[in-house]
Amino acid sequence: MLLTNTFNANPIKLESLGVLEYFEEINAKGVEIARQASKGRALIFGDISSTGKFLKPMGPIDFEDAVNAYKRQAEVLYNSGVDGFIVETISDIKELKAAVLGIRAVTSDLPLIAHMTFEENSLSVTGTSVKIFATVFEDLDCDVVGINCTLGPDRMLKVFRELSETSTKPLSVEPNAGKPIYSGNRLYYKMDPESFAVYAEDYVDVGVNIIGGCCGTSPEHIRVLRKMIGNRRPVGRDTKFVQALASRTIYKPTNTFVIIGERINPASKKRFQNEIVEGDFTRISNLAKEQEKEGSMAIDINLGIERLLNEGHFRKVIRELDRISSIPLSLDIQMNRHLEVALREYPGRALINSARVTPKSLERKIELLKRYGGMLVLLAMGKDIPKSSRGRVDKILEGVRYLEDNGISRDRIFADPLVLSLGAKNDPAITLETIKLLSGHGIKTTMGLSNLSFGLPDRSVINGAFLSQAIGVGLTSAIMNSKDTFVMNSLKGALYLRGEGLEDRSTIGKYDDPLVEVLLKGDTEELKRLVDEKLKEYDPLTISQEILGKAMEEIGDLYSNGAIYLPHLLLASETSQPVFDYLNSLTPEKRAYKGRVLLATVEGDIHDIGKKIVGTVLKSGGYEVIDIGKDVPTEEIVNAVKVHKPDIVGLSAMMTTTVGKVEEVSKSIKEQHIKVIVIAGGASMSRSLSEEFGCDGYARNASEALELCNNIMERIASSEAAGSDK
Amino acid sequence: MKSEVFIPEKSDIMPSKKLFLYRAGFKGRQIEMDDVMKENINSIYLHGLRIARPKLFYKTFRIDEVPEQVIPGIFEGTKRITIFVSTLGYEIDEEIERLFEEGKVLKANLLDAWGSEAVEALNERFDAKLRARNGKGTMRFSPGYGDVDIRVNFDILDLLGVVEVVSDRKTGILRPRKSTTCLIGWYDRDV
Repeated sequence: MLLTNTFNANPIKLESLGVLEYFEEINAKGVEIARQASKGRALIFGDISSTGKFLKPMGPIDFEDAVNAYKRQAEVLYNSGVDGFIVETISDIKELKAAVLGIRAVTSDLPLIAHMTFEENSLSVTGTSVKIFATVFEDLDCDVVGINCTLGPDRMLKVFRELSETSTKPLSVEPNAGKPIYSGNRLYYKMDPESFAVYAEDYVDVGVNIIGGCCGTSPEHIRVLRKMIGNRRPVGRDTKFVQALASRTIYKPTNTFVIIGERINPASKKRFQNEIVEGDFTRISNLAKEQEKEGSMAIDINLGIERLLNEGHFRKVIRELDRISSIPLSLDIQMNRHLEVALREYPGRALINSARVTPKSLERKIELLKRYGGMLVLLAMGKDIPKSSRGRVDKILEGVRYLEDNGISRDRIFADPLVLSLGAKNDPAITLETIKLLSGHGIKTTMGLSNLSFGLPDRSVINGAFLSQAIGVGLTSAIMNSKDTFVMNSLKGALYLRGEGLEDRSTIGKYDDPLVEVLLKGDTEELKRLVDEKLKEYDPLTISQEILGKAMEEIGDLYSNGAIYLPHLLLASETSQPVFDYLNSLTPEKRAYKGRVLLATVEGDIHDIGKKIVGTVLKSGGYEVIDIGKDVPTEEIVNAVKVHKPDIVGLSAMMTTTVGKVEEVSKSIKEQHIKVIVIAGGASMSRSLSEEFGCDGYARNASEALELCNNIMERIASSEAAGSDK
Repeated sequence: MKSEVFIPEKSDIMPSKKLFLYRAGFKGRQIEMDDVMKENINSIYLHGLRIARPKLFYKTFRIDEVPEQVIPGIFEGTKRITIFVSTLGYEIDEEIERLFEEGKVLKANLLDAWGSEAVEALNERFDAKLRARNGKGTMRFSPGYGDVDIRVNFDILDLLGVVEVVSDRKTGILRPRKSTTCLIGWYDRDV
């Protein structure tokens, strides 16, 4: 894939450079040159990037002006015959959205790749996380999402992996050739092609589909990159996309209970209404911040009086809330033209509140959801509200089916079972039953809680009690007053009874035992800290054998079962080693060890890596290990056995030309009646050969060696116990 | 006449990450690893690439110039044999040893695996270069496999006059450890 040299050729950028008059020529020539250079061997993608200015509210450019600029550039590139588009090096998610909408206004047929650029902390300079980028662009009409620039391949990998774990779209990546270096007034990159390409396969392993290079890379970088990729094909990904709401900077997954603050609603508040009409959104900004502090995860925006408002009001309120980095929005906007303005302007993934189950209402919402993304509140009603819970459930199921048939998945929908005023003699049991039935269909639910107590005294008590009951039958979200501490406490209690909290459940560790987690991460300091904690409660020997020892045993089991690999086992072993040594130093007697093992590579053989690995794993399994080296003559091994008096001697031989020495050592030990168990291993050894050589045991690898030693020591212990009984 | 020397480019000794990881013990189809492990793997890959001093010595002989015990049975019908000795130098061995001494078992194991695959990558590269030039040949063959005893390594080094790599006559083990001897037979007389 070859990119046109039109990265900076959007009209806004060219105008700022004073060369706008060449806009069409630059873009058309860019395509022509790329086409010539490719000689028909590559796809030509029109390269598009930033206008160089931030969009409102962060900068001076209107969203619609940016959309228009990108549309103009896409038109020229399209008419010049590109095979697709790539939008690169964008740090403002709103600008990327403008580019996608601009390009899609020209054509929806050609493939479109959308990239953002991130710092090492996985945030763009405007505060958008990789997760938010993936979530927002999951719905938008682009074919591939990716990351480029800012970081070299080493530091970008972790950031890119977050994208591969979050997005279900095909992925692309273009790292820089390392960090830029400033020398005088020149910027250059020093990562050589080989160092750059070493990471190529790591990207394949995490699912990249398209890979290339950004700043500082040369044709040589791409040549070596290609060599390293070889014939490897993209690996399949099993990404579990988490449905979430997001603002530019705040991500809220909907797999936990979602509290939607209800207080931005000027109904019956004349002064508030006047402020809105006059375009004063100070109160709204304050309410947004307050509700966030109170524990809301999203805020419902209901400006009421919509007929008195115009597009500008909706554009401005969205910008204001973006400016203060508000939590995600639930757009409670009745008029579709206003709703569309808000959705275009919003740089996040909003909840559209709401649609009725009527063809007209659903069709328009489907159109908006497809173009701008987001989630939807679906009311359990058509033209009228069904009286029974069954009727409401049927209505929702009808709507869900309709949405699913049109490409909106069930998990993007919150069904609203409808809460009607208790004061008007409505039966709340219908709402509860509806929630229960919908929950059985795997449909998320939300409701306007405060409607229940409208006009009644003791609203908190009524709302809190009802919310608890609703949570008990499966409610997953509520539009509610988060300032009401009684209701908020009722919510926490009800969730607690349901075995949940308000935290994101996706952050729970992979292993039950935190020591296993820390060992596999190779974090010796954290391990030491955890062990010091344990020392307040247990003695060093218990920790060494029962706690740390057990964690290492679990790691051994994970290795044996193929859940982890040898390098993990080694990392865990070398991580545990200093901590075992520390615990042993606190143990007065030598009884901390399970047994003593003497290891040697036989004469003539200089291979001892396998043996050293065995030594490490045995040490972390609680053994005292004496390694007398490689190429050790038989007599020297036998003498060492006499001096050190180990319980077990382990012999290693790698070569067919040296394996005979194992027999020599084994026989020599037996002939001299030295009381020690002889075991053997190594590439040229086998179980049958070890038996033939008179050895007492054989292990294929380090994990088996540990298991073998454990069995031997248990046997010795039980025979000693039997001996003392007599 | 002494053998000729090929000094490879860095990219000639870059093994596929997949093969390197397999050699290091990642045997599964789907390999999950965290950042610590990735960091270890990539830093060792680059470290190996930095410290290796790869060299390859080669010479093509008429079949009757090569001692009989060196020629594999499957080379029957070939007219000439190219014999080459590849090595990464002593620096890798010393580094593996040093890492073990410091208790960095994981890194030592990774570097050992990298070295084994890097020397293979070098062999592959040179093999392809020879074939592009010489046409039809046998598979690449190394002593210790099939019917050629590993101890002929000593004779091969002698034949090529290579002193940078040494072999123990009794065991055939080569030093530096990341070294190999390879043979390719050619059917064309004019090679």
